[in-house]
Amino acid sequence: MNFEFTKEQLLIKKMVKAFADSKVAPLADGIDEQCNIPRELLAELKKLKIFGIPYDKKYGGAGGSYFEMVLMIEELSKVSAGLGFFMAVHYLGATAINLFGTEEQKKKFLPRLCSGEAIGSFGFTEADTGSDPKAVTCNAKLVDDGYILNGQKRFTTNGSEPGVLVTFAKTETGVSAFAFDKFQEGYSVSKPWEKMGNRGAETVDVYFNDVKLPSDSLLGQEGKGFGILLRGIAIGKLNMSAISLGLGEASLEEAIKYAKQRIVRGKPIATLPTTQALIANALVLNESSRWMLYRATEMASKGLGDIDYESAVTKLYIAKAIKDSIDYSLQVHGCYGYVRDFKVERMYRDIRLMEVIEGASEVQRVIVASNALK
Amino acid sequence: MHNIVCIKQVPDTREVRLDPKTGNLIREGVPSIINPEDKNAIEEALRLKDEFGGTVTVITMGPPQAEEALREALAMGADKAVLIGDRAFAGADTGATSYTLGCAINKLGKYDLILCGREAIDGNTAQVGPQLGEILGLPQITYVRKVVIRKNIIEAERALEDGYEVVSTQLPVLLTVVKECNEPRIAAVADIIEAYREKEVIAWSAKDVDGDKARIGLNGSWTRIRKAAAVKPQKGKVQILEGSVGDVTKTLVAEFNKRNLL
Ligand SMILES: Cc1cc2nc3c(=O)[nH]c(=O)nc-3n(C[C@H](O)[C@H](O)[C@H](O)COP(=O)(O)OP(=O)(O)OC[C@H]3O[C@@H](n4cnc5c(N)ncnc54)[C@H](O)[C@@H]3O)c2cc1C
Ligand SMILES: Cc1cc2nc3c(=O)[nH]c(=O)nc-3n(C[C@H](O)[C@H](O)[C@H](O)COP(=O)(O)OP(=O)(O)OC[C@H]3O[C@@H](n4cnc5c(N)ncnc54)[C@H](O)[C@@H]3O)c2cc1C
Repeated sequence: MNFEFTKEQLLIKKMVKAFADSKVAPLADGIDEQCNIPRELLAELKKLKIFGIPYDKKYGGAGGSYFEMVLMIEELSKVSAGLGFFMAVHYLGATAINLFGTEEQKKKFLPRLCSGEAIGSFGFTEADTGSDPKAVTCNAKLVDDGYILNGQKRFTTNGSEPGVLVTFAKTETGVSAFAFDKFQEGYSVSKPWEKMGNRGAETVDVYFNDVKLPSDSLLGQEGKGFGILLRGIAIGKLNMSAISLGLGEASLEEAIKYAKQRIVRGKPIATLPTTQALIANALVLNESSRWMLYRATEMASKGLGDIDYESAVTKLYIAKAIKDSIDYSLQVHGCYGYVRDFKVERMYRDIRLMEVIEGASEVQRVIVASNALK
Repeated sequence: MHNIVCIKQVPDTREVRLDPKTGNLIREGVPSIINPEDKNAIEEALRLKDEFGGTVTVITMGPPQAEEALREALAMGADKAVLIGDRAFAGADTGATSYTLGCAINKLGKYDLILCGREAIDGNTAQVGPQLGEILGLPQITYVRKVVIRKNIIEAERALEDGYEVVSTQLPVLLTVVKECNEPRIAAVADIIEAYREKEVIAWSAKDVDGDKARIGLNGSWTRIRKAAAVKPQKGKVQILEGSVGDVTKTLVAEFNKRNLL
C-alpha cells in the first residue's frame, strides 16, 4: 500500500490550486450568481490543459490517469463547485467516447474535446426517467446513411455549450448510445434550469427534432447503450465525489478560520469544546471521504476491481458524509453561515446535488446491496 | 536565441515558522519551491523564446531533490534541464557556487542570455548573478524589470529605489531580474505530466563540470561560517493611551518626537 502522492501529482495539485486561487476565486461569486462560466476563464482553462488528462496522447490527451483528473476537479471545486461540475460533466461525455469509441470516433472527437475547444456533455435523463433505461422515449430511426433522432432530454448539463454530446435513444434492438456534435440542424435547448447549487455549468433540456446522425455516430453496438451508461457514470461518480471532497475541505478551512477570529464572551469560539467537536466531526468525515475516493480512483486508474460497484459505494458514502461535514462547518459560523457573504452558504447548496445526481442514493444502495447479496 | 536560466530550490520561507522555545527556523515539512525571482527569470526566457524562437536551458546546483524544481521549469516550457550535484560541491559559498555554475555554462556551449533571479529568499546575498557575470566575462544588467531585444542589442530597464534607468548593451549578456519583470506562467497539467514522464533531467557531477578542484566546494570557498545564531526580536513595552482624541493625539506626537520618529 502506498499513501503518498507522486511528485508529479503534488505539482499538479499545486499548479491547479495556484490557478484556482488567482484566476477562479475572484470570479467564483459571479459564477454562482449568474450561473455561467465566463468566456475569458474558459480561455485560461484551455491554457491550463486540463480537458484531456487521462486520455492517450495520440488523441490529444495528456497521457495521465483518472487520478490526476480527480485531483484537478477536487482543487477547482474548493474554489468553485460550479466550475468543478462543468469539468466533471465534460469528462462524462469525453470518457464514454474514450472507452467505447472506435479508433475513427476517437480521432474525430477526442482532439477537440482534449483541447477544450469542444465541451463534453452526457444526456440520459428524460422527463420520465432518471435511471430506468426501459423508460427512454428518445428515438433513433435507422435510415440508409445513419439515424434520425427525435425526442427530448431533461437536465443535460453543458447541453448549451458548443461541443460533443453523448446521448441515449431507443433503436430497434434496445437503447443505444450516440456521440455527435451539438447544435447541428434539429438540435436546440431550453433556457437553463434555475438550480439551487453547482451554478456555473448550465443545465438545460435538449430537443432533438429530426437530427440527422451519420452512421458513425453510434457508440458501441446497437442496443448496448445501457452498459455505456453504467460505465460512463461510474467514472462520473468519482468526479462527483471529487467535487464533494473539495467542498468538504474548503468549508472546513472556512470554519477553522472563522472559529479563530469570532469572539464570543471575550474568547474566540475555537476555544469552546463544542466548537472543537463540530470541527473534529467535519474533519473525520473529510478524511474518511478522501481515502475512499483516492482508493477507488487508483483502482479505476489501474483497471483493478469492479469499478461500477466501487464508485457506487464511494459516491453513496461521500455524498452524505460531506453533506454532514459542510453542515458542521456551517454550524461553526452560526447565523453567518446562512448568509451569502460567507462561502459556506454556497457550499451547503452545492453539496445537496450529490445525493440525487447520477442515480439517487437509494439507487446506489440497490447497487451496493445487490453486490453484497449475490 | 539560446538562453540559460540559473535557478535555486529554496524552502518556502513564507511557510517557515519559528520554534517558540529556541527561536530557530523549523525547516521540517516546509515545502520547497523555485526561488520566486528565478521563476521570473524562467518566464522572461520563455517569453523571449515565444518572441524569437530558440531554446531555454535551466540549470541548478543543488541536492538530488532539486530535480523537482527543474521538472517544474520543464513543465513551464524549458527545453533542457541540468542538475549539478556532487558531494565535492558541499559547503560552497557564493563564490564557489558561481564558479561551478560558470564552468557548467561554458560546457553548455553558445548562448545569448544568462538569466538569474536578483536574490534567493533563503541566502539573500544577491551575489551569485553578478559573480557569475564576472566569471564568464559578460556585460551584466542587474535588477531588470523590462527587456527589449533588437538584433543583438538589448535594452533593459533597471529597477532603482526611486525610479528606473535604461541600460543598453550587446549580447551575450547576464541579467538578474526582479519580480516586477513579469508574471510567471502556471505550468499546465498536461505539460507537468510530460515533464515528468517524457523529459530528461541531465545530471552532472564535479567530473562532468570539469573545474579547478581548488575552486569548488568548501575548499574553493573564501568565506567560512564561524557562528550562526538566532536573534530574538526585542519586544518593546506596550503603552495604552487614554483620554480624548485631542489629548491622545498630542501625547502620541510627543512620544514620536521623543523617539525621533517624525
Ligand atoms: C443539476 C442537475 C444536473 C444534471 N445533469 C445531468 C446530465 O448532465 N445528464 C443526465 O443524463 N442527467 C442529469 N441530471 C439528472 C440526474 O442524473 C437525475 O435526475 C438522477 O439520475 C435522478 O433521476 P430522477 O430525478 O428522474 O429521479 P427518479 O428516478 O424520479 O427518482 C426519484 C426518487 O425515487 C427514488 N428511487 C428512484 N429509483 C429508485 C430505485 N430503483 N430504488 C429505490 N428508490 C428509487 C429515489 O429516492 C429518488 O430520489 C441532472 C440533474 C440535476 C439536478
Ligand atoms: C549544502 C550547502 C552548504 C553550504 N555551505 C555554505 C558555506 O559553507 N558557506 C557559505 O557562505 N554558504 C554556504 N551555502 C550557501 C550557498 O553558498 C548559497 O546558498 C549560494 O551560493 C547562493 O547564494 P544566495 O542564496 O545568497 O543566492 P543569491 O546570490 O541571492 O541568488 C541570486 C541568483 O543566483 C542564482 N543561484 C543562486 N544559487 C544557485 C544555485 N545553487 N544554482 C543555480 N543558480 C543559483 C539564482 O538565479 C538566484 O536567484 C551552502 C549551501 C548549501 C546548499
